[in-house]
Amino acid sequence: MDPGRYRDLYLSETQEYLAALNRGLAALEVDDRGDALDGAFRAAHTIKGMSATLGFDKVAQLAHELEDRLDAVRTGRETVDRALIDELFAMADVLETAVEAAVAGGAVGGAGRVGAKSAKAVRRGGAGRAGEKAGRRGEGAAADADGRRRNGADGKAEEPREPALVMRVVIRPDAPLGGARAVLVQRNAADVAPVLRMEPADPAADWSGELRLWFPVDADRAALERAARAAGEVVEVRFEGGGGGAPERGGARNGGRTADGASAAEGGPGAARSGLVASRHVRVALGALDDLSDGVGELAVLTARLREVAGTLEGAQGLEDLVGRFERQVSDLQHTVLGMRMVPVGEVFDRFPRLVREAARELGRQVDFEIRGREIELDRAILEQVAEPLLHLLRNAVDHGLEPPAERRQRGKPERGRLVLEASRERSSVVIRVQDDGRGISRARVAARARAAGLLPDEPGVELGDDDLLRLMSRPGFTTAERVTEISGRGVGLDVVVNAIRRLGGALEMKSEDGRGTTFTARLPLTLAIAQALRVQIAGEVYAIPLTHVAEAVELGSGMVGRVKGKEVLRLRGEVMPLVRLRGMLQTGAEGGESAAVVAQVGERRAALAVDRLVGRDQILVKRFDAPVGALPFFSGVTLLANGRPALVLDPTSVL
Amino acid sequence: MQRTVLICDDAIFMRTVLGDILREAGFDVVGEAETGTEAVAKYRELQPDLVTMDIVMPDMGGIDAVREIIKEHPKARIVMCSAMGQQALVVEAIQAGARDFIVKPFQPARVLEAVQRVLG
Repeated sequence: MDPGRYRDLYLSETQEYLAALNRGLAALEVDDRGDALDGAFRAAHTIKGMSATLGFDKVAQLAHELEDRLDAVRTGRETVDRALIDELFAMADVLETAVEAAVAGGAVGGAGRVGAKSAKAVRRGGAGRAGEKAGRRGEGAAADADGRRRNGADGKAEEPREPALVMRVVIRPDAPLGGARAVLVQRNAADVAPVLRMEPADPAADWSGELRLWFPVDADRAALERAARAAGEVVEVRFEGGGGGAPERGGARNGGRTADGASAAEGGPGAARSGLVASRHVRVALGALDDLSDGVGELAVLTARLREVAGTLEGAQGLEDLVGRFERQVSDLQHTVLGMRMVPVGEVFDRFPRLVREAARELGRQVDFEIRGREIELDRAILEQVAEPLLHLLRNAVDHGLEPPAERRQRGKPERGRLVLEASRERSSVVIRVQDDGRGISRARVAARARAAGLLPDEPGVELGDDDLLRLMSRPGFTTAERVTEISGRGVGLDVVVNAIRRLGGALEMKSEDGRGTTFTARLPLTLAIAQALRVQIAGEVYAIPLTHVAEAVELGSGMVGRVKGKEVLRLRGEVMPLVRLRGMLQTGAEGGESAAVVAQVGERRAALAVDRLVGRDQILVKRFDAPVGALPFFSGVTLLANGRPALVLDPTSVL
Repeated sequence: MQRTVLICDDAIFMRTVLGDILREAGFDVVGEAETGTEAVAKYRELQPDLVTMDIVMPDMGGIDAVREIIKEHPKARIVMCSAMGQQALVVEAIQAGARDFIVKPFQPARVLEAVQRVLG
C-alpha cells in the first residue's frame, strides 16, 4: 500500500477545510454568530479528526485548541473583537503550517494508522471521512453533527403528516444547471397536482442531483411522471410512500444510494456538513482527469475523421446513422468530462480575504474587500494557475492603489478603501476583475518614465491610453526601474501577471482613472483542455482561432475595407476598426484576395483579422507549446483537425 | 409544416451558431432580435412557434422580455440561453414563464433536445 496516496487525499481535503476555516474567520468580522462561526468550528473539528487518524498528533492538538476557542465563542464564553479574530487567524496560520510540515515529514505515522483502516473506508469517502470516525469517537465534539440533525428533525415536524405521494426525480448528474432543471420539474409537476413540499426547498442554491416532491396521495402518477420527464435531463422518476406520512430521511437514503446510507449510519459529520452532496463525490487525481479529457478530445477528433471517411462511402447502410449516434455519445462524454474539471472560483477566492486583510494591516490601509461571483465555474487547472497573479493584483491594489486613510480623507473619499474581486461569465470565457477606488495611475509619470527608458518617442502632449499604459508597465525592463513605488507603482511584477494570464490563453486589460481608481480585467478561457475555435484558411493552410477573443466573423463585402490615415480599416455597421491581413502578418503569402475577416476583441479594443476564407467551427484540443515567451509570437499552441492534420492555433490577442 | 423560430441574442455570433443548428434541423428562422425590447416587438409581429432568448442583453434583458411576452401571449414557447453560473437567473426566467433552457457553449444535440421538448 502506498502511504503517499493517503497523504495526498489528506492534504487536498485539509486545504479545503483550511479555506473554509479562513472564510469563516473572515466572515466573523462582520457577523459574529451563525453560519460563519459554525463553518469555522466544523472545519477545525474535521481537520482534527483527519489528522488524528493519520497520526499527526501535533496538528490534531492545534486543531483541537482552535476548536475549543471557537466553541467558547459559540457558547458566549468569549466575545468577538478584533484581537480575538487576529488571534484566531494566527492559530489558523500555525495550523496550516503544521499540516504542511506533517505531510512533508509524517509518512510513517500516516501509513501505520491508515493501514489499520480498511481500504474500503478510504475509497468510500477519502481519508477525511475515515478520519472523522476516529477523531470523534468518544468526544463531545460531535455536537455540530448532532445539532444539524436536530435541526433536521425540527424541520421534519413541519412536514405534512397526512398521507402523501412522494415523487423522486433524479436528474442526469452532468446536466448543466441541474438546480434550474429541478425547478422546471417542479413547475411542470405543479400543473398536474399541487406540490405540498419539495426537497431540497431551493434547488437552485442546494442541488445534489435529485429532487423529491410531495403531492396529495390521489395525484395521477402517470401524468406526474410525464410532466417531470418533459422537463428534460431526467434519468429516473420513482414514487415512494403513497400511504403513510412523509418517508424517513434515512429510509430514502438507504433506498437510493448505498454510500449515503453508509455514511448516514455512521453519522459522519461529512454527511451532516453538506447533506447528501459530500458523500456523492469521489476524489480523482487531477492528472487522471487531464488524461481523461485529452483522451476524450482525441476521440472527438477521430469521430470527426470517421464522419469524413463515412461521407465518401456509398451504399454502407446504417453507417451514417451510427456515426451520428457515435458523435452524440462522444459529445455528451466530452461535456461530462469538461464539467468534472470545473470548480467554483470561490475555492480559490476565499483564500484572499485574510491575505488582503493582512496586507492592509501591514501597510496601514483600511479596506473593505468584497468578493462577487464565487459560484462562477472555471477549469481547476486554470483556477489554480490564476490564483498567484490575482493575489499579485490584490496586493498591488492595497499597496499602491489605495491611499492611506489620511490621504483619502484629504481627497474627500471615505477612509476605508474599496476593493472588489469579481468573477463573471461573458461569452465563452470567464472574466475576473480586480477593482479598487484608490488613486489610479499617473499617466504623466508613466510617460515620463517610459521616455527616459527610451520606450516612448519624445513627443510631449501624446495622451497615453489605458492599453498603452498597461503595455508600458508590463515591460519587464520597466518593472526593475526605481519608479516602482513612487509612481503609484503598478508595474510591480505586472509582466509576470500578464504573462501568466496569456499562458492560460487569456488576456489582461486595465482601466485607470486618475484619483478614482484602477480596474484590472482578466479574461480567461473556460477550460484548458477543449476550446471552441474557428477554422480559417490563410494561404492554403488551415489555422484555428479560439473563440475566447472572437466577437464575430464576417464575409468581406465590397466597400467594407477602406483606409484611414494610410492604414487599412474594416467598416462594420458604422464601426471602424483596424484591419490586419494575416497573410502579411504571418508572412505566408501575398496580400489580397481575402474574402472574410474575424473580429477579435480584447476589452474594448477590436481589430479585424483578414483571412482567405472561413472554413468552419470546431471543438479543438489545444496542445500548448513549451516555447519561451516571444519565440512564436502569434501562436498559442497546436491542434489536430478533423482530417488528422495538425493546425497552428492563432492567438488573436497577440495582434491587438 | 416548418416550425418558425425567433432568435434573441445580442451577439451576432451566437445568433449565427444557434440559427445554423436550428436551420440544419429543419426550422425556419423567421427573425432575430438583439435586445429585449426588439424581442417583444418581433414576437408580436411574427408570433413564432418558438423563441430562444439570451438572458443578458442590452436595453431590456431576456427575463423581462419573457415577462412581457408571456403577459401578452401566455402560451409562448420560450427557451432561455444561459451560461454556466447563471442558475439563479435561469430559475427566475422559468418562474417568469420560460419553458426550458440551454446552456452555453451550445451543443447541437442538447439544443435540439430542448427545442423538441418544448414543441412537444
